[in-house]
Amino acid sequence: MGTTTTPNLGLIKPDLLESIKPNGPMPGWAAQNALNMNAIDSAFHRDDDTWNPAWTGDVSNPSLGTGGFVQGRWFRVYRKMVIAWFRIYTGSSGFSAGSGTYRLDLPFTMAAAVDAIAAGLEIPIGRAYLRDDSSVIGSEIASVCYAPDTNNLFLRTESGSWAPTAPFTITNEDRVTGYFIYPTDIAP
Amino acid sequence: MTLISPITSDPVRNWVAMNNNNCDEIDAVIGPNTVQSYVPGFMGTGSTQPNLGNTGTITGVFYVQFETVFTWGFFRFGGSGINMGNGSFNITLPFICDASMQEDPDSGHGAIIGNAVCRDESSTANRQTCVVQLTGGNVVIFDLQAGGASSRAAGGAGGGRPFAWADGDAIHWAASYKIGV
Repeated sequence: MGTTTTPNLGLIKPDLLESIKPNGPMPGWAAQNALNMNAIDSAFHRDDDTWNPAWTGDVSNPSLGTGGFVQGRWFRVYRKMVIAWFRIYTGSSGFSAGSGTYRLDLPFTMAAAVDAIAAGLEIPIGRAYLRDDSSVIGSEIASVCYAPDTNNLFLRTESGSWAPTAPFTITNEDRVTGYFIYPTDIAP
Repeated sequence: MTLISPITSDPVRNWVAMNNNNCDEIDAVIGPNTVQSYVPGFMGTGSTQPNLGNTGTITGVFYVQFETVFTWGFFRFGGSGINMGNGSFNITLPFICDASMQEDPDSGHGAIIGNAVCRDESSTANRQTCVVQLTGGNVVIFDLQAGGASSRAAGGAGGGRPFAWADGDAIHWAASYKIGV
């Protein structure tokens, strides 16, 4: 008489003698079923929310102009995967570019197993579009890369890392939008 | 999933077997909630095979949920004995792709399943993005974009493309696809 459990979710499987017992010294079906339902519910759990990623420069931070924004939204699927979108508008006037390589925060910490393989390097986890409002021909598609040494994102463009003057001089009315997909160890 | 739903006339004792089946089915579909590691294969499409060198490295990790695999990895040339070969680089993914995905050995012909970066360790200007393309089974190449700041050549990254591969140079990738059977 007893129970076994599945290897991944720990679902409880009682044997014939254990199966239909009233609650007593050992948990009966009601308690076992409740645990199983919770485990299954957790496995299929989904979540989504907005977040405001920090937009920073390695030397000094940019400052948004009038009406400018940095917006993000994330969606979690399965148990580890995060799909996130972001968009930046520098504003109509008064934008200050800051200096150094630009970086954006992740909504959740990168999973340790992926972080470990990229030490000192980069992992391209998404794509972005940098729109030069004053000269659309200067706009560019870039890779959204995770940097393990700083635990955040930078954009790999055809002119090096995204910065105040690469791939174009960023100013008022310019925009950047992108998406990325990665795993996290943070429990949903 | 093939889950069993009892009917009214089922005896209670049948519930045990049904529950066992249902628990196992659900558990198998969900799988382990872990990012697992693997060692990708590394080869080339030319007559001269590439060699990562005696301290070169290649590593990959993957995460599976249902029929989808998400994978990340990199290879890096290092030490002595480096040979960049004379064809496009190939690496292997952790599982073969579903047959319905569009696979083709030629650059620009197969389905794109991810992003990659060619990293010239000695020249940040030479670093460039590319895409991961299925060529067949669990093998991919890295398609390059032509033009750009350094007048780069299109095609698969490999011997001499987009730069001469040397110590410290690397390709990093991320991809996702449907697993085949």
